[in-house]
Amino acid sequence: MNTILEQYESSKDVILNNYCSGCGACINTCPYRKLNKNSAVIIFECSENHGRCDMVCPAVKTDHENLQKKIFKSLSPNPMGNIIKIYKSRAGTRFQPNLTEKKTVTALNCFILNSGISKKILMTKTGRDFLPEPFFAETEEEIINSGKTIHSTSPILSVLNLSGEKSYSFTGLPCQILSLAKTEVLEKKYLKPFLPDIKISLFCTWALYPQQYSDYLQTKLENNDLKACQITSGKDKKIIFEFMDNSKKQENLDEIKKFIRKSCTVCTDLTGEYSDISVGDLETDNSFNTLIIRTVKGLELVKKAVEKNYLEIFPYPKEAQLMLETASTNKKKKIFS
Amino acid sequence: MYSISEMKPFEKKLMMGNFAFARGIIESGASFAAGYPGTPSSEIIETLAQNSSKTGMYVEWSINEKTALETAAAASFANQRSVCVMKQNGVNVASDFLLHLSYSGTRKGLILIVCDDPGALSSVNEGESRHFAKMLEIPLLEPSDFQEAKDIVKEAFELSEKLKSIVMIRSVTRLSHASGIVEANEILKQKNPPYFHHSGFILDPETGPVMSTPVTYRHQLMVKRMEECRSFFKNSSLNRYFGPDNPELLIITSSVDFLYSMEAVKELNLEKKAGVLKLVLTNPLPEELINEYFLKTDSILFTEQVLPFIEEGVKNIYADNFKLDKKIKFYGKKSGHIPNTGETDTNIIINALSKIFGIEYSNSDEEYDKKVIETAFSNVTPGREMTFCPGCPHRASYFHLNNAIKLDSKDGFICGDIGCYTLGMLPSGYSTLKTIHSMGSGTGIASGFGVLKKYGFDQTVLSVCGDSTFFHSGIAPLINAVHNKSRLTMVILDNSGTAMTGFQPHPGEKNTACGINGTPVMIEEITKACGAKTHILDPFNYKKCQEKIPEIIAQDNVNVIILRHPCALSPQRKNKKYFEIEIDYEKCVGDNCGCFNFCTKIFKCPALFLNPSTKKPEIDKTLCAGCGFCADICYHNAIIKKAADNE
Amino acid sequence: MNKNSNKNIIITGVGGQGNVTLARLIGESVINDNKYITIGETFGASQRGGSVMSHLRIGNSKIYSPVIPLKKADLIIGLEPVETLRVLITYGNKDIISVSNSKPIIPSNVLSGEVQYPQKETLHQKINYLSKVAIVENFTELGIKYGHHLLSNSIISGVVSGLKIIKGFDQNNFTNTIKKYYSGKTLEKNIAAFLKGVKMTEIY
Repeated sequence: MNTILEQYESSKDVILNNYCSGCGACINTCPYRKLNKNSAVIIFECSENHGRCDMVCPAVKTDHENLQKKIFKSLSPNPMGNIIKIYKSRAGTRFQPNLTEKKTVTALNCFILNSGISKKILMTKTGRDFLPEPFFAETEEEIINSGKTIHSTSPILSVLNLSGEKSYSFTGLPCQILSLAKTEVLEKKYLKPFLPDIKISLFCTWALYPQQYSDYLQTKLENNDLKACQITSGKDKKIIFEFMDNSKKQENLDEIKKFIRKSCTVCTDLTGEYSDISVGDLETDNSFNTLIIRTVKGLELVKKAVEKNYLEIFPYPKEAQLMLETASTNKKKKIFS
Repeated sequence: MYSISEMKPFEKKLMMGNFAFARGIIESGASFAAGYPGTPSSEIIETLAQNSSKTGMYVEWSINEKTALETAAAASFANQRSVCVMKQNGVNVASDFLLHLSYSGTRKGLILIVCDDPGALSSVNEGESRHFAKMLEIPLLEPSDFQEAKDIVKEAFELSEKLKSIVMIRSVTRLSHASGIVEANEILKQKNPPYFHHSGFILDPETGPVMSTPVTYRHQLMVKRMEECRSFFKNSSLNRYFGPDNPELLIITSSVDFLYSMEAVKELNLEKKAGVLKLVLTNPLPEELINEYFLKTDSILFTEQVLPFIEEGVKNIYADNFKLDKKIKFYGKKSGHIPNTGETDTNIIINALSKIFGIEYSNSDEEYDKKVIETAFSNVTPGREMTFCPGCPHRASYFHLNNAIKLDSKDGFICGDIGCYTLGMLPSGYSTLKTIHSMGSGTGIASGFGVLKKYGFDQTVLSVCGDSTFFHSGIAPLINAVHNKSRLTMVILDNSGTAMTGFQPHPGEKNTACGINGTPVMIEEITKACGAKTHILDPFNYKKCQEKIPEIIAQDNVNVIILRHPCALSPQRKNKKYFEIEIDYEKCVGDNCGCFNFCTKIFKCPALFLNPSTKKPEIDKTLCAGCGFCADICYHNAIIKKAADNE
Repeated sequence: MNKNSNKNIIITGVGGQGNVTLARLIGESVINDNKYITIGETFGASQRGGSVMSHLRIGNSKIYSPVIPLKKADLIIGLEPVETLRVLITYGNKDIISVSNSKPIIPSNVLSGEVQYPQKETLHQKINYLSKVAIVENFTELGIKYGHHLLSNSIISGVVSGLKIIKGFDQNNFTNTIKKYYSGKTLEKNIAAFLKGVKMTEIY
């Protein structure tokens, strides 16, 4: 597999060149920094050449070969990274009739909580003014209610050390999952946060700058509250805003593409290659998700979730797999060209 | 502390130069004193204020030096002996009024005591005040030791009354802030009912109006006045000579350089070759006396602080002397024998004399010198940068300001001026202060930066000034900024007093210099009236400051933030802790807090240091002032503050 | 080093340690025994953590400058060990005597990690190396033992008195002077601390 797309040697350069992905990992490790508008800001200069902020930053140069070997004990030839199994999936019968959509991630997280694998799920929810924020869900209800997609990132990793949370699973984006992998392989002498029991990655082609996107969304409101926004699949993508009074409005996707984080333009990871489980859309059928299982831990979880009717899985369509492989390869290629 | 007003005649005391001046003022029967604090001058007014209940003198800390001089002038106009005290920078502020006063003349004796700070030991420049005397055409006296500091005051009053002019006395740090034994004299009683006569003829110096017009007429009087002054001093015992009748080298000197010169001559055993002429009246220079000395020697060395003031004056006299038919060799600042910058001392003059006389001076011992060099190169004397005291509210304030500027991410900066908070330019103020000039200039400069938005200037601009500085010269630039729709945040670091110089009261407080009830003028009332949105915060309220200040500085108008908390050394806080501080070593992550201990490396409170063997911070309880701010900044809640029990 | 019996004493330390007060206290105590006394104070950094020196010159032959020339000190009273060493380097000579508190006050550039503060033993050794007689003790700790860390300066005064370098600096004169500053319990504690200091010099 090809590696090294990130140009920067230090997270300070990442920040100064605006390639911060806003994951919050360096904030978690170092009080010299803070978040502002969901990007890291250096408050106090530091003289360390290769500090722990650099070691955990997803946008700092990564030796992927080494990292894959350490996490998966082997190198994968697949452009989507290490894969044990791939399925199409959706939430199981247990959720009927409440969950009408595919909702694989929601289903898995509910199972993690209810089966006692973790006490909490660290995820992102929409806060004030549509700004995303890190959030520990403790009940099924909280998980279901926070499952609103908002297309921008939260500094989710910034809360790890301070929360002191020991038993939790994690749902986030590929860059955040990469940072967790880098954290996992840190040398012993470094203080590490408690790492999540299960890491679920969401597929991601890009994410938006939260503040700019929030400011934009405010202009769409017209005395209405936003309930959700969805991006249509297929060609000629649209973004659909759904309001509290169930009215809808749609815009050309290009409208919001100008808010794409700069870091996303150099990201090579579509599917979250260092997760236990990665979940995304299924291009060929909008009523199902794509479910990639990367670790034994992930495989066990899916098996049990299926047994308990939390999840339904089906064989993955050949043509979909081809499309996904191509998309993954393209994301890597796009960076090089 | 020093009950100098109670000293009996001939009683001797070990006295700081500034106390000696104060005693001299009391002995002269002055009834009015005003000034603005500034090192090394502050103790004069302070001591007069402390003694005011016994002497009955009116003593005032004025809002600034110009106003101080104006109030003192009024006392002179009303027939009272009066004095005004300031540091060298103050003369710049007062100079506008001084020039007019020089023209208008005075009535009862009026003295201006200026304390220069050669070497800028506690100043941000080493500006020299003597040239003002020349420019303003007023007499200038420079005492050279502690006894003279006291005695000169009386002479100055008499001179002022003879000439009907303000007389300037110049001191320097090494005189004002050094002590020697001073013998007291009697206290003169001056009981004149205050009355201002103004109905007489316009040109009558006793009864007419006091003004600088008609200008050329008055200027002629000033020129005449200086001639008179010269003649008064022709036979004065104050200008003194020590040495052989015809010295190989004549040292012409004044002020503390007289002391250094005498010691240098003694140290080099040059008593028979070199003579020292000590001048006390240095403007106008005693021309006749100097011409006499031209006949006695062939070479002259000038030793004086800062600028070549006497040197140039004497060379002028030399050039004007047509009768003299010999060439004199001059040594001094122009020849490079005495440095042009920094303060002088005995060693500098020893070096100059060794060079002139071609003597090898050595007071060292080869073996010991070797030991010294060896030690000096073994890195055992780390430098000691100035820093905010433990418990200083400024350290907390700069912590918040730096945080806000960096969060704002617009390459912001702070414009500042003079006070303890000038240390904001150093790492203990996170090096946030980027311009430092005269009192109040920070806001003036910020006002200028702020209007550059017209041309796309987008950096965040803040200014800082202290509470006393705000009254001194911070109000005008604030009004300017508001009126011209500039964009800036003026931060007033209000630590309840003029802390740097020793807690002199300012107009914002209830007390006046003499401890009587004054009318406090509230800073926030003024800033609001100026049209600036005003926010009052306590820098030790960590949460509120961290939240509010970034919001305020991001606004596109003129905001004022008053960061208010008394100085850690102020009478109300000294030796009183708010909190006892403990460290929870289970929670402290040491070197894992960032890559270094955040609290010791970044916050840099002298009472919180890193134990190099445990690699964890420790509290030095003998230094800790118990402000508790370190507990607020610890990310791991490992620093614990418990309410202190102050008996 | 002096040609006469005059004594050049430098009191050095860090702003806020009571340096200036100590100089004044010694000076005032011996005013009846000496014709000339001058004190030169470095005021600038007196409260802001910088190095602070007071120059005290005492004697019966004429003293001019309140500032002691380089290499001309007879006694150094160091309230902080690095400061003692710094002054020894500039004002020391082969006959110099030093009395120094060994308790460090860490400079801010050491806190920030730019430079190292020397080891206790190194400091001790270097101070000895540059002094004819060196007394180095943790006077702060002793002060705390006697009731307050600030009593350290009175213990140091006692040591200086015991060394009999300054004419007239004895218990009687010290007591008469310190009475002007303190009363009651504080006064008693300071005198006790002074006596403790005198006792410490019995071995010299």
